[in-house]
Amino acid sequence: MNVKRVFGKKRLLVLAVVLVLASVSLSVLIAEADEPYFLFKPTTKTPKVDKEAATNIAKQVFQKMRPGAVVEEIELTQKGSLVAPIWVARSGKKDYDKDEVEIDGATGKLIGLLSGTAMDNALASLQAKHPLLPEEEVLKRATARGKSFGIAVPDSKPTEATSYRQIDSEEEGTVQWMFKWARESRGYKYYNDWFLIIADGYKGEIIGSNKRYESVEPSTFAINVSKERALQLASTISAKNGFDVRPENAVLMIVNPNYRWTAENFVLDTVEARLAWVIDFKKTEEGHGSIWIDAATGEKLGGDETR
Amino acid sequence: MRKTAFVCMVVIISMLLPSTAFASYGYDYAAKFFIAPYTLKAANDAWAKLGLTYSSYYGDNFTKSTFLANAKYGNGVYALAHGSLSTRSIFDGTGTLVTNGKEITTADINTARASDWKKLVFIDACFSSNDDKMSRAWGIFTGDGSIHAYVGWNGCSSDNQQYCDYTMTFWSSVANKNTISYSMSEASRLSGVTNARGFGSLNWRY
Repeated sequence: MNVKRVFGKKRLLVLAVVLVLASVSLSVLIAEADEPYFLFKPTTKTPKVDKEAATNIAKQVFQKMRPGAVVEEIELTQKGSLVAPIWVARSGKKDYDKDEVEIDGATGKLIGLLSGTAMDNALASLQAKHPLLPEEEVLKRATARGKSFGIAVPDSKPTEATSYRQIDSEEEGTVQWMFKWARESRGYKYYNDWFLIIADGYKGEIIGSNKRYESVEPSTFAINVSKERALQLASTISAKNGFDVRPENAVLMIVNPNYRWTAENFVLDTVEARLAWVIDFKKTEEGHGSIWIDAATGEKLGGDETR
Repeated sequence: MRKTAFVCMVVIISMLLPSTAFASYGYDYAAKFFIAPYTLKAANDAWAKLGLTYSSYYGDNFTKSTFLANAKYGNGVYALAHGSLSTRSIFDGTGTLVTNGKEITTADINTARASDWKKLVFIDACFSSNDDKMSRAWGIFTGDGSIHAYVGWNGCSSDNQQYCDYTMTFWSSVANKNTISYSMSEASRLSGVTNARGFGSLNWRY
């Protein structure tokens, strides 16, 4: 078949241009899609725990979630700015929400999981009108279940316990509990390092867990700046932005500096940690936030605010 | 024969190109939202990974008129913005107060959308899911009989690491073809944030 004769020269030219444009736009889309995501990035680092050992650990956990489950995929990743590699293993049928576990590449310990099986079970409980358990019972069952998986659930009381429904629906919206334990060093809580479990409100099954201990310990715990001085330093920021500082809520915590409201560039995802005065404020409109002042040096470390 | 061959070529090309137009909106409120570059990119990456086109409006380009003009196009929306409890609105960057008439209200959205059907809408702004007023403005509500979802915040959301992690994980999980419900759980687990709330239907995947 003579292609030129079938289409004609002009049409062939138009088709060629369209094909080139299509392949360019497609390659742009693919290039963008292949960019690694922020939280888990592929890594080529060599972990202490090899793939076979990690697969065996994952298999044992999966079988406790769903008898007969196998490891269908496993990949070595790096989480955020952390340097230690993490094995992420998944199990489940194609087109179904999978069970997923994260294993520390250095120690072989389970550091996180998300269970599609538990989510399905919770939905079945909701549809079967299974009664809701009281908070204490959910925590007790979830703790026992987590420990059977090899998750180091703290024995202390959680620092936060929240009950919520993901979707405003009596038919689909399962009730879940999140129990959160703030990481502590020398009696000070970390602003954004924690351990958590998400459990269903019907049987206390673990839907998810995560140990987010990503900060390095502060290099000093010295408190050279008084609360009054910290409030004074924060007042330059609050006055400029119209924030109504609430001195009674100022506490010492370990924060990851982001340098908001300073001359420094804003940073996210840092492992750097400092002991700081966390100074709570109310915004003139709706909302609130906090300003962070280094407890040792008085440096403005940033903070956050609601949107 | 010529006509059949031409039609075949057109069909092949249209299969190569993304078939659904999506619109994704980002808003950095005159550079006051520090997480905007991350969350907007995550949303755009998700559309791209799903093979869908997107339009991105950022910073000064995110104006009330642009937003409303685009509301009737595409079937996916992501907007990072200020939200107000009293008017259940999102701000467009030209206004800082609820009372100055610069906000985009649910009524504005409902009118501008002109009954266009949306598949997934995430209004990443304070109070956007305290009730279903905003989701209804996008034509999505629980029990509406359609497979689509609206995600927002029940209460405040912050311009900080935790909320950035939530949004990025959510889009990453959606892009990996997990259900919306699973993606919300994954995002909660990795960010520690629990006040996201959905309307519509959450147990579907792209």
